[in-house]
Amino acid sequence: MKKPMIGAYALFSGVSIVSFLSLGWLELCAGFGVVDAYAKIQGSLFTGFLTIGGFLLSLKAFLLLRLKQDIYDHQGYLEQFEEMKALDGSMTRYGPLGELSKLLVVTVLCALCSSVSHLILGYIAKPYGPLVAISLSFATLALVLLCWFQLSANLKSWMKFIEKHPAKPAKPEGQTTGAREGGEQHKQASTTKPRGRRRSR
Amino acid sequence: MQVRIHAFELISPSAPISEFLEFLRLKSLEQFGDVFIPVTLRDGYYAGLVLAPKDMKAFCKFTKTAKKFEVKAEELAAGSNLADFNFFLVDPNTGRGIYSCYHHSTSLREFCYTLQRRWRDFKKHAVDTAIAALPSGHRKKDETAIQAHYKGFLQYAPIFKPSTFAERVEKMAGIKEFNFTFMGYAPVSGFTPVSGQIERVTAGFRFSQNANIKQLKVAIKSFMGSHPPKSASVSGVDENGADAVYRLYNDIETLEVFELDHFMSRLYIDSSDLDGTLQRSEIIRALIALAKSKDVKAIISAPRVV
Repeated sequence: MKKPMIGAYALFSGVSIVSFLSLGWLELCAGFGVVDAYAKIQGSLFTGFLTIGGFLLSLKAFLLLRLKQDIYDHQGYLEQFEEMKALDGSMTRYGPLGELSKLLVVTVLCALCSSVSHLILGYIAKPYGPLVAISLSFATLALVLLCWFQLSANLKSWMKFIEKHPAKPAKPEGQTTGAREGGEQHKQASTTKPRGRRRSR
Repeated sequence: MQVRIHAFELISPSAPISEFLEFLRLKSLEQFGDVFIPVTLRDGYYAGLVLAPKDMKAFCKFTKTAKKFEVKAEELAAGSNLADFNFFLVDPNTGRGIYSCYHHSTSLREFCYTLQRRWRDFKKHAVDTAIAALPSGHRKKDETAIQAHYKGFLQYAPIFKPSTFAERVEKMAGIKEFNFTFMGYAPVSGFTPVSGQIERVTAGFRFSQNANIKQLKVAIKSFMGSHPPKSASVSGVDENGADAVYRLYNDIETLEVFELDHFMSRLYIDSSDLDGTLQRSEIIRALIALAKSKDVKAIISAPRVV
């Protein structure tokens, strides 16, 4: 079975290295004043990435639970999974859910680290500190985009799945589960005598 | 290198094919795009060649002796170019013909595509000529009738082997390779729920000379079975001892095989006496003899079954 997280790690590493080198060239060779511009938005970056991390953390719990209940626990998915497992024995039922969870955890971690780096590295006098912090931010953004893309793919799968396996039809309006509801209905029920009922002598 | 002779069919939407072939013959000296198509009428067949001069003056000469080999670039004289040539012959009554081609020369499909484009010139020429020949004061209806006579576009079709793949494999004297492609179903996972996807799977087998040919034939035919793959090919030796490659689909019929050197040694075309040199051409004579042979005649001269 493939290891999809390798792609995510490679993306993170690649983007951080490329952005560090490009920004370093812009700052040190081309004299673009990247560090001076960064100083103006340092605080916003700290807040922004902290917010992203928090949002993804709350989204993770909700989304994973719903996906598990609506797709992975469904009998239809189990049958589909058994069919695929016959072709590739290394697959596991909740494997993709575990990978998605890992991706979200790693992204949250990177967002928090990026946020903290703006506080710590961002104030280093030498340009390398701010450049590392900015590179981390770009790499985290790339991971966030990857998360967005994978979440869209999951939602698309979810939509396809629920179209293929519709849920039980919703109960019509007004139908109760046994609890009393509305005076008129209660009145109607009490005045109707059941058939064949005998009066006790 | 070998020159293979293939069979093809030209299908006219309206005007007879003979009119189009006559047009080609009249325009023999005209360059069409990058090629010349000189044509002559001989023994009831329209025969000619596709001459494609290349933008190359230098070529590489390789000389090998017992002790060494030598590679030397040689240049042609000014005003000369290397050229590819492909002879063809068409029966004007049926529109079917034969075409010779060798490796890297103009393929049969390219030739037929060139004829399709030439058909547009023929249409325009024929319509203009016919309208010009109408008496003055003619009606618009007459012009419309002439245009309707030449409407549509030329179609073509290579002629494929009539026998089935299994029949051809059965007749083979030796099998060297068997390659096939089929569409498989593979699981896809990652960050999304497990699902399947269609993927193309290509595989090939090579066999030694000692392989049991009967078992190979049985295995290949049973593999084809009732659900043949997307494509397949078998390379080996046919019943006549010649190298053969048979394809499952779109296997173009090869009617004859010549050696290119033998073909080339008899090639000579002179535009100042174009019709004469084509009439005297030994290659065209050989093609006509092939067209008149029993098997080939049955393919190119038999009336079309609608």
